[in-house]
Parts: sequence; C-alpha cells; structure tokens
Amino acid sequence: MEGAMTWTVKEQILRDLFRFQKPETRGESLHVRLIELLMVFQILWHAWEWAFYLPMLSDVLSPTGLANYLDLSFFFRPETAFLNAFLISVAGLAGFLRRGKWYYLVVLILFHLQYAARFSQGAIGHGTNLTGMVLLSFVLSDLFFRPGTERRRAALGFMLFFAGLGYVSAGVSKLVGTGLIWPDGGHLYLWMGERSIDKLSQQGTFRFNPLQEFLFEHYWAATLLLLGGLLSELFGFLLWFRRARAFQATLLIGMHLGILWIMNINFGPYMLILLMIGYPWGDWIDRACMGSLNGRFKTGQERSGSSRNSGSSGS
Amino acid sequence: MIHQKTGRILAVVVFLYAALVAGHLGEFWPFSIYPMFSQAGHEWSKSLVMEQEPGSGIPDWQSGTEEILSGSLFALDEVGLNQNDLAEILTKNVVWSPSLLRQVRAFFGDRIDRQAYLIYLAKGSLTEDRQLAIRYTPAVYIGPDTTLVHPEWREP
Repeated sequence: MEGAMTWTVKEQILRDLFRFQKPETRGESLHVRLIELLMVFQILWHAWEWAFYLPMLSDVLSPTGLANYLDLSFFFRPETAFLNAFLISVAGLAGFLRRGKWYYLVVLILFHLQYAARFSQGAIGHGTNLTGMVLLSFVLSDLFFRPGTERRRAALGFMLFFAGLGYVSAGVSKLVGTGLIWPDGGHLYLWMGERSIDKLSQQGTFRFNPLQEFLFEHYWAATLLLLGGLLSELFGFLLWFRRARAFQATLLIGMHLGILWIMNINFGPYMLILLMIGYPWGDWIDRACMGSLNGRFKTGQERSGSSRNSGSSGS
Repeated sequence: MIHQKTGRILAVVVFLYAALVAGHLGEFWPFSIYPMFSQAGHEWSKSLVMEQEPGSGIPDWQSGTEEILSGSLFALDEVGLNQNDLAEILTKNVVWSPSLLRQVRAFFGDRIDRQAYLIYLAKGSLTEDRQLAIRYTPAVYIGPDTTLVHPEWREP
C-alpha cells in the first residue's frame, strides 16, 4: 500500500513536471523558447560583466568549484577573461540557434570557470545559480531527449525540479545552521545592519527606508517576516505540482521582493526566472494569440510528424 | 518509458549535486545548498574605506564606534570594486602577504599616487536589548609611498 502510494506521488510529480503525455501547443513551445532566450541573456551578461572585473584581481584567495583543482589565476589577465566571455557568447548563441546539442555543455563548463575565477576572493555570489540550473536543464534536455517537443518538455520539467529543490535546500540549510529559532526578528536586525555597511561602503551613502524603520521598531513584524520567508523556501517543492505552482512562484517572488526592500539584495535573475517558469505562459500566449498564431509557425511536434508524437507520449 | 528515463537522469544529477556540494563546502556552481543567511545571530565583519586628508599622518590604530572614523567616506563604486571582495580580504586573512597588499593598493588604481586611504574593519553585533552595535578597527593604511597594517592584526 505504502509502495503504491510512493509510486503514485513520484509518478504524479513526473507527470506534473514534464507532461510528456500532453500534446504541445504553439504557446507552450514559444514559452520555453523565451525562457531559453532569458537564460542566454543572463549568462552572457554575467560572463562579460566578470570579464571586465577579473583584471582587478591578482590572487586566488579562496578557491571554489574547479579552482580547487586548477590554478585559475591566469583568468586575471584581461585577454583570458575576455576570450572566455567571447567563447561563452559564441557557444551560447550557437546553442540558442540550435547549431548542435553540445554547445550548452560547453557554455556550462566555460561559465563555471569564469565564475570560479570571479568568486576566488572568499565571497560566493549566488546570483547566477538558478540561471546555471536552467542552463543545466537545457544541457540535459539537449543531450538525452529528442529535439522538438520532447526536448522542451524535458527542459522545463528539469528547471522546475531544480528550482524547487534549491529553495527547499535553502530552507533546510537555515534549520540546520541555526535551528528553529532562525526566524527570530533580532537576526533580521543584524542582517539589516550588515547590509547598511555594505551599501555605505559600496555607494558612499545609505539611509534605512520606512519599512526597515518599521521593522526595527516592531520585533514581532521582523519575526513574522522571517518566518514567512523560511516557510516560502521550505514549501519550494510545491513548484513541482502544476496546481500549486503559480501560488508558490508568487510566494517566492514576494519573498525576493521582501529581500530587496529589507536587505537591499537584488535577486533579479531569480525573480525573472520564477516569473517565466512559475506561470502557465504557454496557455496565456495561446489564449491571447488564438487565431493569430494559427498557421504562422509550427511546433517541433508538428514538424516531426505524427509518428514522433506517438513515440514521445507513449509513457 | 520516458518517465523512467527522466527519473533516472534526475536521480543521477541529484546524486552528483549532493556529492559535489558535500565535497566542496556546499558550493560547486551551479550546484549549491544555498547557505546564505543560514547561520543567524552571529557577529558580522565588513569593511569601510575612509579617504584621508592630505598630511593627516599615520593612524593611531584605536578601535571604537563611528566617532573614531577619520577622513571622508569613500564609495567603492568609484573604483568599480565589489564591497564583498574587500571585506573578505579583511575578514579571511591573518597574514598580509606582499602580493595581497599589492592587490589592495591596485584596487584604488592611480588614485593611490596622490591620496591616502584607511580601511576599517567594521564588526556588528546585537546588544541585549536588540540594538545594533557597530565597532570599527583601522586595519590597513595605504598612501602614495606607504602601506601599513594594524601592528596587532588578529583578524579573523
């Protein structure tokens, strides 16, 4: 009985995440393509941003990722950082233009090196991790699934799974690192103070906004806010379920907006990705463009013919 | 069938994810356990740079609240440096090697030829009545011809 229930939940998650059994609409196809475009844009943006920053550094102080095994100090030479950014751009565009299924894997490796060189000073940036998981989703779908509908279904399913897993991991990390008292409002005061020095040092000026002033005066509100954030992360797995997805995505975007207003940390790439993967944009595009999209372009499913359709939906 | 294949791929990736973050302090881009803000309630350390008046001389290295900050606040945006990178150098290094000091000087570009800067370590904590308290300690003084480290540097 228990085994059957486990199987049912697992099967339900897989069906909700991947929907291989459903025919793909034009809106759904366009939806995944737009996510891919956003991912490529974010990767290129950071690759070049770091290419300009890396020549300021000279020592690897605290290696991360592959920098634990490779001396990446040669990335501090301008020509290396810029060449890597250029190669990432070429491979990223080739991957987006469907020139081959290995290009995104090349981007993943080269971007990892650019990241490891950039964050070799001790502070780890998490601003690109979700973008990286979206990239990994496209790598997996390119390598292991048939082009067209199957690839797009797989990519979207993987990114929803990894996003949910990441948020749950963040919530569990807090419980392991601090315990059930993590949402104590005093902790928020410490972080707000820390961020105020960060901003002061970075920009030369800083003032607490009215919301921050309110939280400093109302301990219960600060505690409630942290509790809400923690629960939003712990329930991140709800992204795996189609019916709860939009609700959970809204909670997480709200959490990131709260972090932006209260802690002055902008998780913009995360919010954009959640906005793109958390809502049924495919259905909305279909409804908005009903009639006008008909006949304009064909989905991969249609291009591949009916035999492929039956192959990919057979499970 | 396709769900079985997908499930196997997910299982392999999750295993790799767990193995890589377990072996690399929770971080192996793009994998992460997202540990930021996981250890709550601890004192924090950051950096703050003050531009020194010409002829202000060598600092007396005394710690204290913000009243002891001398000079005018310098925004790192002016040299395009990320605050976290400077703060990490201050908080993660006990030994100031010549190459590290050269890197810190290089952060300020050619400004260092005509201006002096005092880099403070800022430590924040919470008092018993939940008030924020920040204490500053001069850490490194860099000027056109001078680089000095706090004589009793003990951080971290």
